Amino acid sequence: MQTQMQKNEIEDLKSALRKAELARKKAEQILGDKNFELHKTNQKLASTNKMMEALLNDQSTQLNAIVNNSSLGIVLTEKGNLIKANNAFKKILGYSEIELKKLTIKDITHKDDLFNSLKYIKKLENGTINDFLMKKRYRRKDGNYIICKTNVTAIRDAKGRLKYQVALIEDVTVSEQHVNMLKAINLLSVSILGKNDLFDISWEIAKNTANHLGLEDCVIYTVDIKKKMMTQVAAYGDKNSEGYTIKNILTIPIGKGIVGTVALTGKAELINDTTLDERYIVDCNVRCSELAVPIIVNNKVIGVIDSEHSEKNYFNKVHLDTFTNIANLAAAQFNNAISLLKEEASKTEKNKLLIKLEKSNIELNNFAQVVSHDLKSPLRSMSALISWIHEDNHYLFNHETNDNFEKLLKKVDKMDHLINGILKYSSIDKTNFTSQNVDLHELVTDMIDLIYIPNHFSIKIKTKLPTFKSNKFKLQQLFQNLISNAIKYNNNKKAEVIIDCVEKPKSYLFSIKDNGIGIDPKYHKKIFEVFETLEESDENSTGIGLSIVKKIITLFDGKIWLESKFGAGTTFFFELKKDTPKV
Amino acid sequence: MRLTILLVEDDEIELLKFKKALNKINSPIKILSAKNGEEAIQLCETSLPNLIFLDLKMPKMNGLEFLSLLKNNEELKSIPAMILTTSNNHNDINNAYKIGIAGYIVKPLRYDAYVAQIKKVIEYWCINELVKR
Repeated sequence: MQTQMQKNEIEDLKSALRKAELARKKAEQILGDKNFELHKTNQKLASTNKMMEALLNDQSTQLNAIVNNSSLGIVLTEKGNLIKANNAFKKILGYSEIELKKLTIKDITHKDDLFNSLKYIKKLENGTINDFLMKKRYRRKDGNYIICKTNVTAIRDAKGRLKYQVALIEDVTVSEQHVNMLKAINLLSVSILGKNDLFDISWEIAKNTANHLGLEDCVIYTVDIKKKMMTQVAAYGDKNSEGYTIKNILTIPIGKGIVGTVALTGKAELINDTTLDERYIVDCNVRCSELAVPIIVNNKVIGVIDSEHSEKNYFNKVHLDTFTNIANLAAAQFNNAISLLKEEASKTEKNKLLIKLEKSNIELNNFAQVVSHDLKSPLRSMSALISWIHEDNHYLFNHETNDNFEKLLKKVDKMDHLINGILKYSSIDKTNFTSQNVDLHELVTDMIDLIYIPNHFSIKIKTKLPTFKSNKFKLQQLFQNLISNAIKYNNNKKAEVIIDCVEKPKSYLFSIKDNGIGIDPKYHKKIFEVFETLEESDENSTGIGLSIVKKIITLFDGKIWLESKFGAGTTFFFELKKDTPKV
Repeated sequence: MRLTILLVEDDEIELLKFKKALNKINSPIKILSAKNGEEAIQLCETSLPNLIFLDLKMPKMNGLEFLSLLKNNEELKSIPAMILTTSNNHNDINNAYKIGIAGYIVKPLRYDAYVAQIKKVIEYWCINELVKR
């Protein structure tokens, strides 16, 4: 029984063994599979790694390419030291990589911008800000300064502490200069607008140019073409202490020095290194670069704008362009000023002449008055004395002598006529020129009644003469002289004088027509001159009448002319304004 | 009634002319003469003339200056004064009338005409109540 039992047990064991064997095999199988998988995964991992590596390499190259080819200067700094910089940065500042690594931000920052720069960096450090943007000036290796737009970003470690700073810089020097130049020109044009004093304009230009462009100095020279010299008229910088004075004004012959050359050639000069230019004249201090631009008016150099700088290579094309613009502006303003001065000078000259003329006119009139009166008195005495001698002795004289006495008296008469003529002529002037409403028709009608008119004469007024504002006395003199003339020079048996008037919009056109002896056209001008009479031995004619007429017409700002032929009568035309001029 | 006339005139021949002209008038006239304004004022104060003939142009004190002095003198201002001159200048005439004159005579050139004018004037004043007093 036991055996059966044993047999059963053995069977059981065997089965268990088989099972175990099977399980082991299965486990082995699984392990093998796993191993394979692992291997595969390993292989995959390796290839991924390789890919990753390649990818990383690729990206780094790309980044480097971007960084190094960027037109922006890029620099990595750690605690103010320059760690890494791209090509653009090196190029902008002019340093090599090795040189840069020895420098700190402080070394390349303009001292005036350092304070602001540090202030921002502090904020980066204490975490108030993560980036900032500022415009600052960097010092190039050659010593010149450039203006850069600078964008700084903080790079922090895991704990948020500032580790690196990345700065992107863009050189805006030229555009900044352009802006400044434009601003300078604008401000300058405003400041010299309306100024017409050469001195004022020069000072404005010197001051504005130097200030707005940040120049060390600016000097304006004027050119004296006659003396072939040029003189400083305005100087900003070392040359002036304060206000509008120049210390030790420099005078340079045209053609000498750089400024003198510009004055001679009319071409601007930009000198990068004055120590190499033998023309350079030392003014106050030796300066290494110079810019001189001519101010040209009407193709002539009238001045030069000059600036010098202690550094070599300071001035660039932008400066030159700006100076040229300023010179053009100055030229225009100077031209205005000069023409204004000329105009003013000629105006004052004219006024002076006018006053002088008026004075001499008054003097002449007074002279004529005084002399005439002084002549009149002795003439009266003479006349009396002649009369007395004649009266007392006429029975002693023969016929001829008595006759001569009569002739003598007639000459005295003639003399008196002439003196009266001069008196009348010289008394027609602006004084006593009052105007009131004058009824010309009444005036002329009354006059015709009063003056002597021979019987065979007819005087007609064709249309009613107007009433207008004028000077009664002078109008009377005017018509009286013309009518008297018309009567005097008429030997026609049916003599007539016709007075007429035509109204025009702003004036009256009068005409006095006679049928008398007429006047040869060649005398038409001459007859208005003083003492011109056409008949030589005319006792009654003084040659004053028509010159008085002319003088009155001139005083009234009117016109007079005549139409006449010898032997065919004369018509005098004259035009008087309705509004008498204010005298 | 004897008329006293003062002629203020610096020219001798003019004085002679005046005297000769008055001689031709048949009325008793006393003629006083002064060579300038200063003399004339003195004469006026001492002799009180009935009429004054006054030249404008004179040395020292001229006619208008004398006239002003005369017209500002309470005692003398009623004496009629007439200008006898060669000047027909508007200003002179205006100024003389402004100060106060009894007439303005411009001397004619011819002696005959002069005599005729003076005669008329004297005759006018001879029939004038003021001068008769």
